[in-house]
Amino acid sequence: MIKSQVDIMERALARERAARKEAERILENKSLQLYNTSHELKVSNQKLEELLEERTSQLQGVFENIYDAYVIIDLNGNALKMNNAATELFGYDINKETLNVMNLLHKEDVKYAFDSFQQLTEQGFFTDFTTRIVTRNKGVRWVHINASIIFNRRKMPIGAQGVVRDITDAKYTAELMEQQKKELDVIVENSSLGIILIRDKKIVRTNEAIKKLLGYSEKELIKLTIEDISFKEEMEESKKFLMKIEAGKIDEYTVTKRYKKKSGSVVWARTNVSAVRNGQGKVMFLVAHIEDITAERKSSLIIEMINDVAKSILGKMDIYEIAWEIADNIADYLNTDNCTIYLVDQEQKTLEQIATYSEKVDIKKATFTIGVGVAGTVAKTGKAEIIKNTELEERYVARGANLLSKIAVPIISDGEVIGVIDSEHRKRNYYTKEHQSTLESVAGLVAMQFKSAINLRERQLAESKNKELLDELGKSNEELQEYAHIVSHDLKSPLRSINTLVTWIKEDTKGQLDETSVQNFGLIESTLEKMEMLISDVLMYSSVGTKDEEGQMTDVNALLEDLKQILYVPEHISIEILKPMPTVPGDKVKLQQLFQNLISNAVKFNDKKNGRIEIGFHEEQSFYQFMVKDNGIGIKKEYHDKIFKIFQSLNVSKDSTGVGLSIVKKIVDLYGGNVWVESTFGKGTTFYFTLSKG
Amino acid sequence: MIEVMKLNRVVASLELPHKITEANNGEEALKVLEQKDRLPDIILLDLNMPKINGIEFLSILKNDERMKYIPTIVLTTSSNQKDLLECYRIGIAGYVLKPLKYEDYTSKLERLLCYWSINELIKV
Repeated sequence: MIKSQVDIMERALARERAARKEAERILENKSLQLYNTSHELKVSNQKLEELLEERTSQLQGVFENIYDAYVIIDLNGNALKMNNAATELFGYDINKETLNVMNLLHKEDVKYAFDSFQQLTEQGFFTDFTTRIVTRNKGVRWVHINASIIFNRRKMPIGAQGVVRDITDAKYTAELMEQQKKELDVIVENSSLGIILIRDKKIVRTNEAIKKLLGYSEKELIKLTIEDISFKEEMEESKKFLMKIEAGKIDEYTVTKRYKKKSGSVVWARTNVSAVRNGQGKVMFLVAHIEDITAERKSSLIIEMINDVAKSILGKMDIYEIAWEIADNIADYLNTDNCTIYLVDQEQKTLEQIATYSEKVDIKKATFTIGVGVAGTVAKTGKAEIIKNTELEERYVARGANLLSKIAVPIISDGEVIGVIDSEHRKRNYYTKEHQSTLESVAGLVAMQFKSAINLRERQLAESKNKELLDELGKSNEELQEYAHIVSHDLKSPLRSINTLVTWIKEDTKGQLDETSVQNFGLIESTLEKMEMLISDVLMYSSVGTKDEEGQMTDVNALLEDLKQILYVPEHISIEILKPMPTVPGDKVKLQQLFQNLISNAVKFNDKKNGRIEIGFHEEQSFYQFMVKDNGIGIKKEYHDKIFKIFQSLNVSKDSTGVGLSIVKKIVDLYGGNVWVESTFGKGTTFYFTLSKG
Repeated sequence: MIEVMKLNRVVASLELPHKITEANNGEEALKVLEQKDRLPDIILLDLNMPKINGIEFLSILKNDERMKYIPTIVLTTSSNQKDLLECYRIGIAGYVLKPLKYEDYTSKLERLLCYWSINELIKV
């Protein structure tokens, strides 16, 4: 061995020795430390154990007494410990039997359970595990589990503990609620009524129907308040009700009001508002049920209007009044200030404006020709028309300013257009088919009365025309009589002059004229007399037609006495009144003319030595029949009718003008009687006539 | 013309002392009557006159404070009942129908003038 080697070895040994010594020292120190530490550990462990024990027992107490089930299982799932709640929940008593929690798992939830258990082992815990379990008596319970792994001191998992809450009832309730909510939602969403839920005046929920009705989306709606979609003037009424609801006086109310649509148009709705209160009676929500009654309202408006028209024209016969009522009601219904009623005259081919509802009351009454203008066309065709834009309508005749749409509906009676209802509006496109059919209904309703009013007007026109004619006739009759008087006067005056002159010539030439001339002068005079008589008779004939004063009575006895004084009756003729005469209705002068003519005829045309005239009568129910009988020359049968006609004198006689019997007939006619003759030529004549008693 | 001649002749033939002033129509008559100092005793009035007719003339007379006292007798051919009534209503002293025959005329006028001759008349 090499010394150096020995040296090295020796040095090494020495180093080793030293190192070992050092190591021993360190070890000694360490072991002392260890001892101390382990002693401390022991002490603290003991403390901890005590603490743990204390805690465990504390916890056990807690767990055993908590409402939820508490289970401790080993790693195989065998239940090691269960509190009373768990025992009750699962139905197993582990003091009497074993329980593996795997057996509790619901078939359908097994996979889910194993996954969750996996999570438990990996993470050391799981929370909010909800699953179904099957209890000992086969009951299915929904449970909610929070679990954690239990480790031993070596940090090895030795088991698991879990809190199991029975949520079956809660879950059932929640499900039920969900179900009910769904059902309710279905009802609410499918309801034809608009529904709005309101909290603190704000819209919080709506349904499909209200969105559809108002044209807003839900988002838009919940930004709005009820006042935003209502009309100010109608909110007052609602506010009163709302105050009552707040005060607890009422729980619901119903109003009919308008809502503003998104489009700007208006919808009429019946709104029922109910309060939902909390336990203290404080209003939490308001539920509004909104029913669109625009159509209903329209139709009720129509019915109302038609009713109004019918009522207002009831009993009216004046065409202008009827037309005015129609115009008034229709203008109201159409919400326009322009409605005109035309009367159609099919004969004159005209439309006459007879009523106009408009701001300008004194629009000139116009007359159109049938076929001219829109109303004129309707009058011609009998078909209603709606003019959407009057500016584009060639036939349109502007009557007011800025009237941009128009409707014209005919009033038809018996297939004939008798009138036109015409309305105009400031807006274009204003009139609808519905307006048209309503106006047509009104037209149909009023047609009959309109027609009878027209007839009445025509009749009145005709009557007044008749009256005019009658007046005129009366006047001209009067004038005619005046004329007769004047003419007769004018004719008589020259007759007198001629007669006077003839007389003077006769006087002045007395003894100077030959006999023929004297005879001729005599003829002139008798001709003049006849002429005078003729004029008088014609005058009398013409005055017979004049009306008597009402209620005049004439005693025929007195009349005949007077006549005996007036008439010239030759000696050989006797007049016999067979029995006392009656008193008859009629004018004395005319009746005297009647008897005078008959008696003087009987006197005149008597050729018998002993002329005999008999005057008699007999009474019938409604008239007197008089008789004037003579034994004169008689009248041939063929002339019996002729004699009563004027200027039909049968005999050329200086006393006869041929007017007398016409006067007789005229007077008898005037008193509603008859006159006729019975006669045997050469033997005599009997005139009969009747005079009505009243 | 003949009427006046007739009247004059009647007055003459009856040898009556009356003076006749003729007027052919109402206007003329009114002119005659303007001469207030020579008012007639009686007026014989024909209803059928040109211009102012008889009834109008009568109305004027009867509305005049002085002339209304002059007896006015209507002498006419018209037996029109209406005229007759109207004349009496306004106020006349008589209504005489002119007969056709001159002799009848003469006798009617004679009696008329005699009647008025024995009457006391008022001069205003």
